[in-house]
Amino acid sequence: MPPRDAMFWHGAAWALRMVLMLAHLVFGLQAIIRPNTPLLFPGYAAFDDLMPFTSWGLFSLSAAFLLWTVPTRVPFGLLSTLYSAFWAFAIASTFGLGGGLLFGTIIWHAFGLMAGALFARSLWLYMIRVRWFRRYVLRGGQRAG
Amino acid sequence: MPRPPYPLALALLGLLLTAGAAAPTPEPAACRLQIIPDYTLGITYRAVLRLSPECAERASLRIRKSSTQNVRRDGAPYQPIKPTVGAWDLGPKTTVPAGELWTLSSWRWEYYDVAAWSTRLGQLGRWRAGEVLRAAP
Repeated sequence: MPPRDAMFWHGAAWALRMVLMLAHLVFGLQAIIRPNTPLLFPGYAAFDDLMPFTSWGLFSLSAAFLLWTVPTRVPFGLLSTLYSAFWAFAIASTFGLGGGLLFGTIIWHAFGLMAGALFARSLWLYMIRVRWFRRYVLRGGQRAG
Repeated sequence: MPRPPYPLALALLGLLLTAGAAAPTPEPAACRLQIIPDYTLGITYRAVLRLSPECAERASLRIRKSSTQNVRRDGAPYQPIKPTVGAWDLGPKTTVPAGELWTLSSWRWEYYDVAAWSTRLGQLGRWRAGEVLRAAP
């Protein structure tokens, strides 16, 4: 199979960004419509130890908004993907604190890794145009990498 | 012989400690109604009703839904939403219909506290507001 061109990877990155945006959106809406899930469901019990559950919802919606409006390119794409990855890992850890191994724990760790992959991709696309990076890392031979 | 330091302060401290020891101990919390708003849509929410943790194993409370806007003619604080149906039971056998759980923000859930004194009627037994819980630290 021949290597895919840049257009394909741009489309793949966009699709991944939209999936992450949907995840943050759904979590945020659920947190605002049902603000007392930490009291009603044991797996969510750790969420209200840090801040009210509606605050988790608002931060999730802000991450969804940033992912939707900001393309994952430098410079602001780095910030939006980092923000999304932060909240994804925070949600995953809080699920783990409240209920241990849950679907929410696993899937939000996965979302965090996906946002990290988008971050790494946009960082790479920036760094390969930086002169010292090209000289010392890309052509550095055995002393680089 | 050296005098003891600050005799007046020591006397006051002793008085305070004795008074503190003689203070009445707080009585244990009574069995009451707790409401957890589940689906919250602005002005209305669907309530999850439960008895407080201090209640006995098979305790049952008489509860009703009451308006916070209207006052009864004879001075009773609030008008029950369903005056003909009256109150429901909450306990081992719960008789609250599922549709009644949707609560407008101008209503509130009340339970009948048999041990509370009613100054209006001059007897024991009073409808008291349930405790609304929120998920916050």
